[in-house]
Amino acid sequence: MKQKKNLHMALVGSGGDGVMSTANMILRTAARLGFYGMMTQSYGPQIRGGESAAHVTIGVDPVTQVGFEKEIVVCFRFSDIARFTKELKVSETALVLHGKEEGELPESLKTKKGLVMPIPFQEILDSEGLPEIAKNVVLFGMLLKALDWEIKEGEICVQEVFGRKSSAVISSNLRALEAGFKILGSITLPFGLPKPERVTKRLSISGNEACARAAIDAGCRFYAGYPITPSSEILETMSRLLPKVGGQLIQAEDEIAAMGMIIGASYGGVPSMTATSGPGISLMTEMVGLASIAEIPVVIVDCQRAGPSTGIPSRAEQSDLWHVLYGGHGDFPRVVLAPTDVKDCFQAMHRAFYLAEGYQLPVVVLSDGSIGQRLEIIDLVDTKDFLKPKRCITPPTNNGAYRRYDLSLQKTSDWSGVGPMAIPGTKGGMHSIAGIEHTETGTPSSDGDQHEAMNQKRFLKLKAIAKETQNWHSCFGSSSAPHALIAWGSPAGVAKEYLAAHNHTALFIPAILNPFPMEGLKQFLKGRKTVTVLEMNYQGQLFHHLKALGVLDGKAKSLRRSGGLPFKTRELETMMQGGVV
Amino acid sequence: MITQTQQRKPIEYRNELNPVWCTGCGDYGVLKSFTRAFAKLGLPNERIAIISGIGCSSRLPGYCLTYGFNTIHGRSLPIATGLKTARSDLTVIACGGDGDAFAIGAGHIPHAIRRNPDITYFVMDNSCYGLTKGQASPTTSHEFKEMKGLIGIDEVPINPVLFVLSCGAGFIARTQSGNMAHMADMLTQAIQYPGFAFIHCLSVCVTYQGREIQEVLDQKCHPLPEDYNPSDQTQAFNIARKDPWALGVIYRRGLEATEEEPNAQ
Repeated sequence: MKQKKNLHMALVGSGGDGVMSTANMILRTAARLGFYGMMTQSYGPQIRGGESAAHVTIGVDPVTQVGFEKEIVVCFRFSDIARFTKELKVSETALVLHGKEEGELPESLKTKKGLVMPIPFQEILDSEGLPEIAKNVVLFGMLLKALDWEIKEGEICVQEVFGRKSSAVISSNLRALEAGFKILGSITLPFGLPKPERVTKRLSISGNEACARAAIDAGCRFYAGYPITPSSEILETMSRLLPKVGGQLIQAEDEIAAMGMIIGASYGGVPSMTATSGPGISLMTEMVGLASIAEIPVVIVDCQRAGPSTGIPSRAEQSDLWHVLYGGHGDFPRVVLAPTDVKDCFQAMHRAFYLAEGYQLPVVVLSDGSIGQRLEIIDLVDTKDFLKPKRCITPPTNNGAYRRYDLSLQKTSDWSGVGPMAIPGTKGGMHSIAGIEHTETGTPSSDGDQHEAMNQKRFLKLKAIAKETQNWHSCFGSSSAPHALIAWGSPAGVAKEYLAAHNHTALFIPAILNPFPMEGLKQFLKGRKTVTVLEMNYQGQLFHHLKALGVLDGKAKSLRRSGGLPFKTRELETMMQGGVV
Repeated sequence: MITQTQQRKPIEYRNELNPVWCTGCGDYGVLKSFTRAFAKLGLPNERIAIISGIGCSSRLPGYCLTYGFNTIHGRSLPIATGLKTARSDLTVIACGGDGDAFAIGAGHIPHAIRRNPDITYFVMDNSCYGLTKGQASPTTSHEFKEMKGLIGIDEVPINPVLFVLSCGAGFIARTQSGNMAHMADMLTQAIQYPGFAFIHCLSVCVTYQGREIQEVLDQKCHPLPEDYNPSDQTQAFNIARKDPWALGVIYRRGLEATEEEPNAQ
C-alpha cells in the first residue's frame, strides 16, 4: 500500500447528518494515535439544516492547511456537494462514499481510478435498530476501516464523546460503530498513513478554545463578551473554564458594555479580556480609546470575519487591520498581535496579557474565523517559558495626591512611560482617573502642553514595547533566496507550504503588527530582489501600512484578494507568477 | 462590608480640588450629600469607587477623596458593573446626569437592573445638557422646550422612576439637590441596600434654566404620603405615574421577594 504523509478528506452533508461530529471524532482518534491534523468547516448562513462540509487533513507532520484534493469524500446527498465545488476536488484515486440516491452521480463526485460506493445508511440503521441520530457514528466506523485503524480506537473515542450519556446511548453508539466498520468489508485503499512510532500526548483544539485556555493560563480572571460569529466559542469556553479558577464572566448586552465591563474589572486590578468580531470591534472602538488614555490593561481578541457591516460572518478575512491599527478618534497607543494558527494562539495570548498588564494599555489579538473555528491537533504547549504578566502596582509613598500618571521620570532616557497604578482598595492611594485628558494626578486638564506631555508619556510605551518585541517574528527559507514574501495571520500556513516547493523564496511572518518588528524586517529584506506582501483583504492593508512605515520600496508587490475562501497553494503559485499591484 | 469603627467627618471624603460647576449648580449639594453619606456609614475611603460618565455632574468623582473614574458618555453602568463583579469588596457608586443615563446610556439600565449588582446608581437629573450649553435632554418637559425653543418639542419626556420600576429595580428613591439631608439619607439607604439601587435626584441648572429654578423645585417637591408603603409595588407604580415631585423611597423590594420579581407590572 502506498504511504502518504498527508491524507485529505471531506464530509459533506446537511444539518442533522452530523458531519462535524464525525470529523471531530476522526480528529480526536488521530490525535490519540499520534498523528497531527486539521479540520475546517464551511457552512452557509442557515442556523440549522443547510449544507455543511467538514474538511479534514491528517498528517505525520504538523498540518498547516487542509488539502484541496481529497482522497476520501463522503457525501450524504448528491445535492449537498453543489455548494462546495470551489472548496474541494475529488482526487484520481479517491474513495467516494455517498448516500443511496436516484439519479446520476454528479460530475464533481466522479473519480478516474478510485472507488465510488453507495452507502445504504437507512438500511443499516433499520437492520441494527438504531436511531437516525446514530448515522454519524456509523460513518465514523466506516472511516476507521477505510483508514485501516482498529475498531478499539473507535470504541475509546465513543466512550469519551458519549461518556456522560446513559449506558443505553453508549451501547447503541458502539453498535453503530461496529455496523459501519463492517460495511466496508474487505475494501482496501490504495493509500495509507504510516503508523506513528511514538505516540505523544496531543490536543485536538480550536483556535478560539486555545485563546480562552491560554488567557486563563496567562492569568485572565474576568471576561465579558457578546455572542458573535466567529468568536463565540471564546465566550463559551470561558464560561466553562473561568468559574473553575475563581474567575467571573458576564454576557453583556452589547459589545460596548462588554468592553466597559472589562475596563471596570481591570481598573479593579483583575486581568480582563473580551473577544469579538467585525461589528463588535467597531462598537468597542471608543472604549479602546478610553482604556488607552486612562491606561487600563485590557486584552481584546478580534476574530475577523469578512466584510464591513454584517459582511460574511462565517467566512474569514484580514480586513480589520487598519481598524485595529488606526481606528478611534484621537492619538492613542495600542498593541496589535497576530497569531498564525491554533498553536500560536497560546503564545499570542500570553504575550497579550504580558504587554497589557505590564504597559497598562489595550492589546488586540487579531485572529480570524479560519484560525478561530478550525480544529488542529497540536503538541501540548509548554507555557513555563512564556512571559509572565505583571502589573506595576506601586503603593503610595508620599502624603500628597497619588500621581497615577506620574511624569517625574519623563527626563530619564529609558523610561517606558508606565506609571504607578494603585487599585481601588489600596490605602492612601485614592485618586480619580479620567478619559478626559488629565494631569499627573488624574485631574481633568485642557492645557495643550499637558496634553502633549501625556501623549509623549503614553506613546513612550510603544517605544519600550518595540525594544522588547523586536524578535517577535519568524523567518523561513534561505537568507540568500532572491524573493521575499511577507505573510501575516492565517495565510502564513499556505505561505509555508509554498516555500517548501520554492527555495528561491524566503518568508517573513510578523507575530506583532504594532509596534511592527522593523529591524527584523529590514534585516530580512537585505539583498532580496523582490518583495511581496500576502494578505486576505481587498485593499492590501499590511502592504500599505508597511509602505507608510517606509520599509518597502516602490517595487514591492501586494498579493491580495478578499476573504471568503482560504488561499490554496496552487492559487498562491499562480498569484506569485502574475502578481497584483 | 461596612464597619463603623470611628466617627468620620464628611470633609474627610473631600479632596482639595474646587469643582468646575457654576455657582448655584445642584451638583454642589449632591457632592456634599455624598460625603455626608460616606461619613454616616463610616466607609473607609479606599473602599469606595465612584464611576461616572461624561457631563457636568460626572465630574463629581474627581472631588471625592475616594477612588474615582470619570469614564465616557453613557457608560458608567457597564464599567461599574465590571468593577463590582471583579471586586465585591468595594462600595461602587455609578453617577451621572440625565443625558448620560436616559439618552446615550439608557440601553444599559435594564440590563444592570436584571443583573442586580450591589451598586448604587445616582442620576442627577436637571433636565438639560449643561456642558454642551443648554440643549433639551430626554427628561426636558414640553413646556420648557417650548419656552426656550428647543429641539424635540413633540417628544414625550422619559419618566425615570417609571422606567426603572418597570425594569424591575429593587430599590428606587427620588430626592432633590436642594435638600442635602434628604439626599444623604437616600444615598445611605441605597448603599446599604444589597442590590442595584437607583436614585433619581431632581437637580437644577442655574445657567440654562434661570436662577429661580431651585426655588421652583423646592416648592414643587414634597414628601411621599405618610401612609405610603414602599414595599407595595402597585403603590409605587401609581406614584411613579402620577406624582413626579414626591420624594423618598418609592420602592424597596424585600430581599425575600427577589426570586419572584421583577416582572410584576
